[in-house]
Amino acid sequence: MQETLYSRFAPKMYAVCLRYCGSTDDAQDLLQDGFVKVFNNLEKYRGDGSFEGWIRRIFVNTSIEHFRRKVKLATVSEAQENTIEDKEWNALDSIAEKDIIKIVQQLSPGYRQVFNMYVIEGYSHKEISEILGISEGTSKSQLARAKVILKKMIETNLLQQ
Amino acid sequence: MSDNWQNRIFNHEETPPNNAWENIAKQLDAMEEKKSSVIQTEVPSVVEQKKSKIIYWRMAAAACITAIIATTIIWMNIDNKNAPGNTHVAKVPVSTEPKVDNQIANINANNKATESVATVSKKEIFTNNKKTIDQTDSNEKLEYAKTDVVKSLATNPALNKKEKLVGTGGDVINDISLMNSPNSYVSFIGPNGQEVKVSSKFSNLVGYMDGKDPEAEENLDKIVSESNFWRGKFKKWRNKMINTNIAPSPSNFLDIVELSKLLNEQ
Repeated sequence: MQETLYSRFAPKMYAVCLRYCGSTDDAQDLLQDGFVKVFNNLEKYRGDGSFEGWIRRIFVNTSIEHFRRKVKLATVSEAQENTIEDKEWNALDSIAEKDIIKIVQQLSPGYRQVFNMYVIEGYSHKEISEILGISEGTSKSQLARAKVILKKMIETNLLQQ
Repeated sequence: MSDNWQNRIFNHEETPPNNAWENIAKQLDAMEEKKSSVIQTEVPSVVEQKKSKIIYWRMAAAACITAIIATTIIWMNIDNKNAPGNTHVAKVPVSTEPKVDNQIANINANNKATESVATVSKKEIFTNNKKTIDQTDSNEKLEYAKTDVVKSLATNPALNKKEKLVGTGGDVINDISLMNSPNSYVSFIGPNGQEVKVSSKFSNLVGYMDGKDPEAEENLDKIVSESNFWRGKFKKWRNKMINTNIAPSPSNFLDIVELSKLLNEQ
């Protein structure tokens, strides 16, 4: 049963791991830790939401725990927020998923965490601040910085193409 | 911000490395082994703890029961000693009833014996005398023959036996004087015609069993008077009574109690 579960959810969860990690080695470690947690806590799944959502949450939390010590988030002034326009985000539509993941992986761990949680997973800044143990302002500033860096990366990537 | 690329990234799937599942399986197996070993080491300790608890409670229960029984016995003993009706009952060992026990034992022994009656009876008398000594030494162990026992002795079926034990001359020997004649034997013919040789001391007992001798009391008196034990006992009591100032009278209950106490002194 465990192997069936693994083969069913491993590709999606590995993609999650890759987004949160800077390297494939870290992603593999994270995948292993995440599935071990899933199998050890299967009886705790109460059927409230989707099973995939429950597993994804475990993987996100595992990745957060994994990098909590490494990441030191600096507070940035709120003026730096939302400096990337929507049209620049739209440029990502033309980029393949693998390339987007590669771009995200180049972010520093702090930016990557907040970016993934806010933009991809859909957490609010309040939730991110509670999960990461930071203030909401820090979460916002991290996201703003991540966006700036991503903008540059996207431009570079598009130029290379 | 476009949701398109976000959804694509959210649902994106990436094939994990081939050895990923093997590593996960290994880790799970290792954890399973660790868990089972922990359970194996913990289970006996839990069982031992339960056992020790059970033993502790059993010991406590046993101690409580013992204490209750001991307390009850002590209370009952105290009550018995304090009871006014029991005071002089335990202090009247001056009785010939133990002697009656000897007689019963002897008669029974004679009824059963076909050979070596003398030896057996001597042993019986000796052991019964010894018993009597033990009984009189300890007031707690005294047992007295009851009236109904004596009565049943008088109506012993042996007295009405059809086939009598008779002497070789055809008569039942009933001479009390023969009782203490040393080294003399009396021969009897038993109910089945067999000849039985017994000490002359038991001749009158045999006669008594055959119903020829109605003077049972005489026999008893004879045995009692010849008993060294009772002779010594009477002598002791006599000396005590001589050397005491108490002059008991039948009308004075306290005098009788005092006399009883005196006789019971060790």
